[in-house]
Amino acid sequence: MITIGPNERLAAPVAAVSAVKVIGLGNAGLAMLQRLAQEDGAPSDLVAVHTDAKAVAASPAPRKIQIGRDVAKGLGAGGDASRGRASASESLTDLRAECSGAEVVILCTGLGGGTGSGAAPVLAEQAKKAGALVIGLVTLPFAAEGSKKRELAEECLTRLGRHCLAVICFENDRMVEVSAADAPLAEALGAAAGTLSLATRAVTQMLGLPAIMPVGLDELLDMFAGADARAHFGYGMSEGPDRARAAVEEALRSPLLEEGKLLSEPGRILLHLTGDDSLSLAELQAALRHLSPHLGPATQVHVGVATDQAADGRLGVALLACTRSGLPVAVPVDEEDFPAAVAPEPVEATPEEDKPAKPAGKKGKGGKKSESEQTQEELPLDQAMRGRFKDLDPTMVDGQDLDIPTFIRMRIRLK
Amino acid sequence: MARSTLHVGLEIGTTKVAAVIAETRSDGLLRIIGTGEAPSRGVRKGEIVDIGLITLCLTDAVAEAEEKADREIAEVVASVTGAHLESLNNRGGVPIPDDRDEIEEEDIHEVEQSAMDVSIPSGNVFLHTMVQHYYVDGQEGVSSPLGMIGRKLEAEFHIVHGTKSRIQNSLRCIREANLKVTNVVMSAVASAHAVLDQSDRDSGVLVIDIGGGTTDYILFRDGSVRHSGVLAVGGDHVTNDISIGLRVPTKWADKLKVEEADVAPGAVAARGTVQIEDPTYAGGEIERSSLNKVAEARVREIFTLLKRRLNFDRQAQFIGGGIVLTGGTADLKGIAALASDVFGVPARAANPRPLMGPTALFESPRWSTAVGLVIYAQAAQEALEEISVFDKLRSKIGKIIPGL
Repeated sequence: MITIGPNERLAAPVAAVSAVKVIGLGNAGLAMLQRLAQEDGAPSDLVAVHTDAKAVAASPAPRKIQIGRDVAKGLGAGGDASRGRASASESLTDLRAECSGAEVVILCTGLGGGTGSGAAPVLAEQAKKAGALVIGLVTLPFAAEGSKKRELAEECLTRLGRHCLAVICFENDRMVEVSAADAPLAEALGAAAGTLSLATRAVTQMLGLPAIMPVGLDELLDMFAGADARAHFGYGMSEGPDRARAAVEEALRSPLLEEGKLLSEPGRILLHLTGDDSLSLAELQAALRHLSPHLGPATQVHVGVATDQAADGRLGVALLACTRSGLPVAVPVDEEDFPAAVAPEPVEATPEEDKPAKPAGKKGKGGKKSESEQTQEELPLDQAMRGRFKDLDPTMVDGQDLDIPTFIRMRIRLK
Repeated sequence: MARSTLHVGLEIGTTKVAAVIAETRSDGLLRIIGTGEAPSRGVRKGEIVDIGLITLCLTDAVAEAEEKADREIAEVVASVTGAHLESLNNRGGVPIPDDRDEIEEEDIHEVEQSAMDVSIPSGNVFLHTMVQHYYVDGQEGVSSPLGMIGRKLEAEFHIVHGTKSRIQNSLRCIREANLKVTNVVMSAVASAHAVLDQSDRDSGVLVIDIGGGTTDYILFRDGSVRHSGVLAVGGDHVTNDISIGLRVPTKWADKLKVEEADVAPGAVAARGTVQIEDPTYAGGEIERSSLNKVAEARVREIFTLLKRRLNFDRQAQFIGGGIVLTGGTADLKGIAALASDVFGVPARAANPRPLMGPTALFESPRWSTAVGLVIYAQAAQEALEEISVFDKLRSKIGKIIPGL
């Protein structure tokens, strides 16, 4: 964990450790890439992947892969996830080759359709096998699109979760809440796409920009280890003298964070600030100060700061929240897959060496907590979740600590 | 003999200490003449963690009861609870000596002793051995073997045992308050005495007493105890969950639980909000659906755990009397509907059966254990007076009562 003494100065930025690749898959994924490419300071390593030859050709992404030439014959997958899957399988080698060398792959796609739902898990698996950490940024269909689509998306999400370090879900229903209820459809969808590209960019920046306080892969692993692989995202940007407070508040208002309510659930938060040279320690402290009342007692905060000369006086605040259920990830993790998740080259030697091994803790499907978790700093976390029972012997039944609120252990979402 | 007609029940609970003084009138009926209550301190999940603090509380409760009854008391019957209490069923058997055919009191005592010849963890002591039924020469269903002719007496017992040091903690703080403990009773056993009558027991019933720190349960089949135990989860957990889930201080969480929460199945879909108005706390609105979700999840879990622990699905057909809920948390809105939903049999919340005395006592499930203790004490004494001098000399009070 990073601790900051009051007199400590923000150090000079160090080069980003991670080679980040952003892959857009399917219609929604390509749309996200397109928007991303139009913006200043966009990450350069963009890859467009689709079954639809025309869509791939039209993408501004510098790297393009048309998958399933035989299966899909250059057309879309037509909402058929099995066709999407077959297309990806047909082009395994291309996909794997594209991912090799990347430390982090950010996979952007929409679930519920054919290409995204079918190909995303295959692509994520290949990226993981190529040695990259995969973070999914996915949209979930509108409720109005029907339960079939929703089920397909959920199923795909489960498969995807097996290969991803984390999957950040954007519910379309919530995305449009960014706009007023009576806003024109085009505007609402545009705003939703804007949020997505912000998220993609923020995650890329977290990992890809020269950083004063870099977010290491070890921290990401730590963030998501043993947690529900679904993450939530909020973003705010502001300028002026009070920009730290304003940006944090905007990020907290994000509908994707359920207006900050989610943050009070025990879990981990990554607070990431992006700004130019004018970013000060006092602003970092102000941001933390404004965030802390919204956090639950058990929340662990990771901090990252990156510099972006293109920021031009603006301060960006990204919040990545990973709510903890205290339960093992429901998805079975195949053991042999995991070592591949570790970056192939020894990036930074010392403390990280053992950290990437941590997801192996997820293997403990039976118990509430894997052994590795129990011995670590998570103890105070569990203690805080026990509230008034924190000083007492836990009431253990079937491997669960019954003093921890039932709704947390059963992952019941509150409004 | 004034002493013999006065019974005092003392319940040291996680939430409160309750004292009930009752006297057996000349016509044999029990009348409650004084009650005292003090908020409990130094008790967590039913177990005493601070003897000094709890001694003060029980002194207060007893003093209040003494004042109302206008009597001074020296002896009490105390209840114990806590997750350390465990139960098992075991069969004991003794041959009838060759010099006689008729089964005597001594044999009945010995068969009980033989049933206690079972391994319990070292550091544990027996709290209850409750007979289920006797077998004479292998013949089933004998409820009273005394005087029967046979060569062999056997019996099934329900045995409750617990950690000696923890039971001693209860006794020690009562002694600290200058009172003598004449009997120690498992809370669930006491509560069952308060809320059940014989016909309930005969038709089969599960009593669930949900207090602040523990859930005590006891299951009767064919008139006798088959299961009993304690789960160290209670109403405090509901409060704690609400406090964490809705981010309200404990005081408000408790108020929300008592006044607003509804745990009935379906109440999770409740609409609307509850407004908290408190100048000392930036409260605001609480979504009813969230409140009900948090509370329902906890109580449902308690019931589900009990159901599994009791293997209830296999018992259900013998539980004609359904579920009887008591203890302070039984006041929770919708709890009977939830219990019925989980267990699949009818459920009701129950107060102590009315005796003579202050009616307020019989209008709340909070008093079941304390009231049950005096009923138990009276029954124990009656049993004692009925049986022979032989047992009295051995002072096996409370261990020889048929049925309980």
